[in-house]
Amino acid sequence: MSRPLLNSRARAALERAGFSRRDFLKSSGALIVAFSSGLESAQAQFGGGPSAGSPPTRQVDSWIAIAADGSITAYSGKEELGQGIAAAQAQLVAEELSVPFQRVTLIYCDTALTPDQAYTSGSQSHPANFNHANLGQAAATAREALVVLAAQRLGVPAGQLTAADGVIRVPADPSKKVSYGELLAGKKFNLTVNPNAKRKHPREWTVLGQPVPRPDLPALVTAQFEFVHNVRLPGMLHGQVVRPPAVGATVISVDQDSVEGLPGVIKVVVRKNFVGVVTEKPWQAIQAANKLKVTWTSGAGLPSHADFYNYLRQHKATRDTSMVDSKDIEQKLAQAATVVKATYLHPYQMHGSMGSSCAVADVQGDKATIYSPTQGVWYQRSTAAMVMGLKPENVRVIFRRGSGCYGLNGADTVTYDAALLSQAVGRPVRVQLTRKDEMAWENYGNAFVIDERAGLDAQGNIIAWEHEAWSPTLGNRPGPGTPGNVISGYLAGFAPDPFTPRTSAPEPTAYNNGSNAVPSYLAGKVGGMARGTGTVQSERVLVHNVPSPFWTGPLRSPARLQNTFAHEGFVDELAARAQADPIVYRLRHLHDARLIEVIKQVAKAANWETRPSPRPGNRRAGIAAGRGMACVLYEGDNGYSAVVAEVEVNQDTGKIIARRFVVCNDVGPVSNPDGLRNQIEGGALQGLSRALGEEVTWDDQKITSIDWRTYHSLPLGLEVPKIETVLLDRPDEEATGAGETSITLVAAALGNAIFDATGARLRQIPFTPDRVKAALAARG
Amino acid sequence: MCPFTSSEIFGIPRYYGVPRRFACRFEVVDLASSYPRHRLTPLDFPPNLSKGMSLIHLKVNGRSHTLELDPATPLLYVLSDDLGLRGPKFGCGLGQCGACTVIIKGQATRSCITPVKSVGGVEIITLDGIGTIEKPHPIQKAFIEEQAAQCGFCLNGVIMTAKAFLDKNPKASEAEIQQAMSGVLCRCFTNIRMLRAIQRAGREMAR
Repeated sequence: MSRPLLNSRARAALERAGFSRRDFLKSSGALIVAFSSGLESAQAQFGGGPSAGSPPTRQVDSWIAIAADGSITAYSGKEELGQGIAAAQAQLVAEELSVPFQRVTLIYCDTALTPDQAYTSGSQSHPANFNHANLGQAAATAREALVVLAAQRLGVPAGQLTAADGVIRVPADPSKKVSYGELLAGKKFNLTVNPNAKRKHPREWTVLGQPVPRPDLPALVTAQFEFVHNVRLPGMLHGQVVRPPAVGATVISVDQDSVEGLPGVIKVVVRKNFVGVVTEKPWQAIQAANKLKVTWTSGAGLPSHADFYNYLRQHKATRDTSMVDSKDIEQKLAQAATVVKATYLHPYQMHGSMGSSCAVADVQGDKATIYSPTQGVWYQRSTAAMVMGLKPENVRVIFRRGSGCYGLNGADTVTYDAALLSQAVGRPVRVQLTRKDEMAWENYGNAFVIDERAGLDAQGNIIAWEHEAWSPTLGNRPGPGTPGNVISGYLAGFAPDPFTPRTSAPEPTAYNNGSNAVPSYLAGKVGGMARGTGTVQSERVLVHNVPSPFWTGPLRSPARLQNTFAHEGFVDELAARAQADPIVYRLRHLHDARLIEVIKQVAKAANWETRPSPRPGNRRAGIAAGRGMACVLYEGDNGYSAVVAEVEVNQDTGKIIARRFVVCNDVGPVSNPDGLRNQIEGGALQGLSRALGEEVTWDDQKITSIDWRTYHSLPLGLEVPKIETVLLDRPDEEATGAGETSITLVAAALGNAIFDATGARLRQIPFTPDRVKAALAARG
Repeated sequence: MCPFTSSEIFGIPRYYGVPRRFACRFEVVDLASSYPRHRLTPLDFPPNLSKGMSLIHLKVNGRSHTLELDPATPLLYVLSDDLGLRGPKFGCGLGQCGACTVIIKGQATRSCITPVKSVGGVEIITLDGIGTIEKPHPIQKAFIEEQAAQCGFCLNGVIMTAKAFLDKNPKASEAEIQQAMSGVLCRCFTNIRMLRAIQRAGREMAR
């Protein structure tokens, strides 16, 4: 309990720094460090370049500050959403600077303080800051510079010096030592991040690689932690929005008199189709929003929920993308001994963060300060500025943690809501959406229709595989310049990304498996280079995007979960057709050594029984048990994972109970094993909830899954499976993502386990009891 | 049909403060009948109250407060906005998720659907009041030891629901704890660690 709180320390440091941080970065009080190497090449590695106004990412001072007392402040553009990356980043800085973990204060995601690292998303924080650029490289550059300075100060060659605990010393002469604080004396480095600065090898790690506890937990469990929901500003008012009653409805009129005289009402705000109210207190805002009489046009009408997958498949104007095409697929399928076909279906699902989204904006004239749970403060700054008609440089966006995340939840949209309402009243306004406003209008994870087709030779080996998918899209992440990609920006008059049909997909020019559209068993040959993880040479992967009636955006493992559900279910079907063990069969079609290794390790840990599915001897009524597996190289290059699921199927009720998950992950060097396990466990159970219960529903006008009784989430305490994690440490490999691997695999592994238990194949998420019973009845 | 509906959920005991019918069913929340009514505290002087407002005495975490409030205001808003407490949180406003849970008369109670007038003068315990960083309650300590959180937003509901249960059932079995927690959500799905932490706290509290 004595550990200092990163959060409160960070806040205190932030307040001390305030806007003067920028002045510090601009100041000329620089220490001239006699050190330089490969300076100009650093920026190229960062790609894209940061937003105007961001502390320059090539400068060490943008990442690391060392005070005269030796305390170290690290600045990161990758934020703590609950995934544990704050602890790991502080470990990284402590490791590279050879100081204890407690010496480092981490400040992240504040446009007045921290460098622009785009979004904290896509399992990219670990690769972005722990490999050879950005935060880790800046810290290593700083350490080397400090050693050079110490060599000058102490008059000994740098090679004779060691750094430990923030002090550089000559081991042979205890009198010769100098601390970081003394060396820098409160000045800045004025040094470019050196891409060649030597990093600590994972085998030498003493701080990284350790299960350092989350520094935010003591404050979280004692209600001291400040979520964005807890931000309170002097004079702050409360807002609520009034969303359209139907998809596509627009405002005809707003009867301001309808809330006249209600307690606390300050203002009704209308901007095109954006409608909101501002009141003194939050409960007043909810009541006023309910009572405000708004006349809307009728909605645009929605395609039938029951027939939606056919609607997607039959949509005429599509945007097509080809991932791989060996041009011989029809020929090889014609030669195959057997052709197997199957269609997999995945619904829209939602982030459904536990607390509805919240933001606090303080717009005063042409300046604004915004507290937001956004994943990208710099993009929120540029788009909120557009929404308010302000200059981006006059807007400061400060990240404060929201509830959950899991991708593009309501964080950005509620931030525009708060900005618009605050601007209208010239006072700080806090908005927390209602549960219904959150669930009915967030950017859902994509629905998918996936056709799989494969040809097998006489021995059952795969000789050709075709994947064709249809998926709806509307909107996306808003940054840097498209606030209309989420509902409130759209209602306020901004257009989403346009949908441009492209019905003949251009030839792929480079292999890209970022969406895991290409199954693991394919060679992935593009431009003469085979970069896939598999051996099947005859391959075609074609994706059709279709306009969506609902907003869509990244939801944890976007498209990758859906594609992997189909691929890993389908390969299981092929294994069964070949009467082969599902793992043995997979290994026959893989060549990637790391993917093969996670499969072998998970099989070993799960005590996998080598035999074909379904399990022999299972009865066709009552409870049947089975096991299934799935594997993936996430995003084609961002972490290996394999899962074994053990389930029980009640064949009378159709109820599925997951009993055990065994997960093996290879994410390169493991920066914090306990944080990684936490992500794997959470991902597995979120995957279970999504596989068994979660589905967005609608009627002919509007979304009908608007609370926890109409959108079904696995509760905390019920029938929780055991989860065992196997972490393969790869000290010689690059760091990869870890937060989205297990969730990608669970649906497929469960479906395969259900097949193993019962001989029934489930190809539509979620596996509701009705669908299970239908699949059981279809066994014949 | 809700796949998570089961006899266990429908058998939610009263200590949730959640009526059985809240679990996975399609019904309008009826504030009036959902919660036990508590005696309104008699007012000494209701002077110059604004229209529709009442003076309400609240006892929260051992401190007394007298506030001029719309008596229909859900308790949650009073705790989080008038009193500035960071424990109880708005998750759904429908009594479905547990984020707003407080303990009233030993019962885990969902403050987002509890009118403030119904709890005047009654001792209300929130997460803010059970322990501090320096002196955490055993259940808070257990959550730190098990590193049982991701985003942490649900912790209030999880810890307060578990505390109310363990206070009455310190020797509860793993299965009983699971059942007791089946009306609470964690959307980061930290289920495994949280259940482990609750068991650890139970062992500590039973000593």
